[in-house]
Amino acid sequence: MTATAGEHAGRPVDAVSVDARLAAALPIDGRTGTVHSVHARVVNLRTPDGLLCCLASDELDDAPRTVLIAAADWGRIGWHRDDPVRFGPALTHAYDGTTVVLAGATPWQPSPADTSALTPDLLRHAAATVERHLLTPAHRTPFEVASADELGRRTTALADAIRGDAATAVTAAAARLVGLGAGLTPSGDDLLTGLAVLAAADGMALGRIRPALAEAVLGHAPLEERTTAVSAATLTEAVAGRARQRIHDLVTALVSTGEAGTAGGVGSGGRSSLVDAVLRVRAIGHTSGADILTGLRLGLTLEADLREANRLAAPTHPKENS
Amino acid sequence: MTRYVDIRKNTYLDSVSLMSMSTRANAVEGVTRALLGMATPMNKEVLLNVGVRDPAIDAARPSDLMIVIDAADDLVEDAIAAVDEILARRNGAAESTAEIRHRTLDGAFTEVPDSNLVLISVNGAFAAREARKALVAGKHVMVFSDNVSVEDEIELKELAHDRGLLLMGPDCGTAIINGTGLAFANAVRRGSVGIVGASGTGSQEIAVRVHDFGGGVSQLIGTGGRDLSAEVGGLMMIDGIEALAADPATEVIVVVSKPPAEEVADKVLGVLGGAGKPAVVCFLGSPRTESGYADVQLVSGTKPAALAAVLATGVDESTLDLHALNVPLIEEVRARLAPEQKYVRGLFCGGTLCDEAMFAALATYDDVWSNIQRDPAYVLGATDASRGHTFLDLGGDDFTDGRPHPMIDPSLRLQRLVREADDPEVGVIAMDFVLGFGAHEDPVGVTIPAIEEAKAKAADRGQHLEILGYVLGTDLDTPAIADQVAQLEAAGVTIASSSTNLGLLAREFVAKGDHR
Repeated sequence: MTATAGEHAGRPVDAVSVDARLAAALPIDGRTGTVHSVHARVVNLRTPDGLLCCLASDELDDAPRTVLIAAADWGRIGWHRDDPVRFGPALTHAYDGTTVVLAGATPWQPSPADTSALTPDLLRHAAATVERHLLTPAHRTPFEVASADELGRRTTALADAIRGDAATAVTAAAARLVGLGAGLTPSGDDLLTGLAVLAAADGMALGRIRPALAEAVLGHAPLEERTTAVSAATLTEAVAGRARQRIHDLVTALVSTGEAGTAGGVGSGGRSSLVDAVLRVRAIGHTSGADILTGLRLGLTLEADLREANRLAAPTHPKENS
Repeated sequence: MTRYVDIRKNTYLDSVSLMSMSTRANAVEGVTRALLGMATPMNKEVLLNVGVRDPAIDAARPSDLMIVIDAADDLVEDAIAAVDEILARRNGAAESTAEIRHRTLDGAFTEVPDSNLVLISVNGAFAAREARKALVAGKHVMVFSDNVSVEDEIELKELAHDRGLLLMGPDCGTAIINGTGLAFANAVRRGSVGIVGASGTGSQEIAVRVHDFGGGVSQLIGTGGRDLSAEVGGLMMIDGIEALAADPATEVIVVVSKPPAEEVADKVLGVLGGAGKPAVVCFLGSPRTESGYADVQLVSGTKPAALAAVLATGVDESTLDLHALNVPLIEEVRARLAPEQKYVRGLFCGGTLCDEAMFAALATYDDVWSNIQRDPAYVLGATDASRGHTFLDLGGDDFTDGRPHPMIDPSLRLQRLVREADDPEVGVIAMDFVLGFGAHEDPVGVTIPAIEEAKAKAADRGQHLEILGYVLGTDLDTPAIADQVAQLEAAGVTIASSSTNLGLLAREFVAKGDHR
């Protein structure tokens, strides 16, 4: 609309926060990228180098490859799919001149959490807390029904491979989950996201599977040929241990239950911080939150098994060095 | 049977939209199965596993949406057309909202200088600032946003009053101004009943009941839920009443609210008493029975309010279908419930509808639990399991943190519905379905599978589970109420004819004769 073309000249939108790694990776030479897709509170952008990133309203949380805009300013991002966007010192919509300035935005990085002190019992209690809040979907579409069996089978295969501690088997089993299931971010990808982010936390014995997970996601055929572009971006970040802030909050809440010192502290109160964190993750998307929680629950159970085995075995488990 | 395969290139729909479209596509007559999924290699394998093989699917890419429809041979064309329409509506909705977007209030005022009303729906932290701008520019304002401070609310309402403008809200969910529905609203006949409401779905319910009784609505003015508190003092309610008193098209004024502060109730009744027009007042749950003014009638529920209003316009009561409580139906349902099935579980999208059903139960039972209970001893949180008789307003803040309102996204209610069916002491599950502008496009259709699952769970243990539904809507709404009711009846759901009757029926179905 030409009538609004000059409206924003000299009135930039100041970003509230930005993923620090994204800020460092964005081109600033004025080349043109495009709007990839538009949702109610997210506008996905493709940089001239092909990287998928997004602008989002700050009603959502910080996340990898994300620039948050104040909700009050969100209405000014009236961008449409395939619109050109210039990546210079700021992001500028080539048609209407809307400019998003990143310079003053707070850099975001996921907060680290050290899980070393968590006992197998605490991990199992946490898994049970997640389980309690994993409601069975009341209604599944025929496609969800058709994919659910496969999802279940392949998740079990992944768990078995992790228990078997063979990297190639873990890679093969995880790769069979990529792109599987309903939704814009398929359920299998969401599950892997939950598992990968947990495995990346400090002190996790499960950290040993990270190379195998990364290989499953990044080492096979190009990821965007195996899943949707949005999900490919999310998964790529997840195997690097980075995800939406509320998933990291859940890991932090998990650690703080361990610091409270008693197993009874986990999930014993309906409003505990862990339960709140679980509910916030569950609220992501339609089924994405539940699928991420399924991955987290799997990871917690596997980690409990691994720590128990390590405790019972010799001081240094021979496989720890493999 | 014929199979139709379509690939929509580069289609990025969010998961909630995909689920909603899939549900609707599967409900189309003639469709035996509609599969919608993104065309990833693994999802193609899923389709192969269920016998779906097609060259178009082989060629599709992960950014494409796969649509596979199996339909009866003679109905396949109709089915495809219906599915196409659903998809087109979805795309059309997205595009049309983009086309009319103005980026700032100043820009909108410049481009549409004769506009006189602004609907504000931004983060609550900024809503007051935008509302103030609009009032200063001489526009009436409806604030849909919540989380606006009471101090800001008072200041804005005083500013509006001084300028002779309406300030509806904050947290105002419904209005009908000069025949145009704002936010959540139903398509009702225009007429001579003016409504001022401090409770959103209560106002919608009265508008719909007035329509059902053959009347029509002149204006529906929302005030926001806090307006009748002692702090705000009914500023907007009083301005709204005075606006309707001065409106030549309004013959009768209806006021609906949860119980107001006593001194504010006195003030509102006084203004109504001097309005020069007959008035009907519904303070839901209030113990008051007398208004103290000859022309102001106090009623106990939304249906009595609508009826009194329509009668006050001169309609002959003998010509109306009053939808009296169906006593034989109550006996029939009681006979089907086992002795241990003594509790009602109400799962509501509409806060006032939840309130009305809860107050009906409280008139008979003690152990009535809710997230909107006035008695703190009986308050349930969003993560608490139901107890005794439970009535949940799933649109309450505790349930909507981080997710859309249940009128738009039904998933939380579907999960809860199935979970309630696990309790063998539950006899009745009561639910509302709100139609109209802003609401889910097929609230019943998306709920039917969960209803069937819930009933099947009870049947597996040899029990009949009574699902009692009320559809808030009119024959003019899209979808029309008749379509929604027919779907519910086909699923074995008992239909209540109003919010008031829903509460009474639910209560009576589980009464064991002596009203424990």
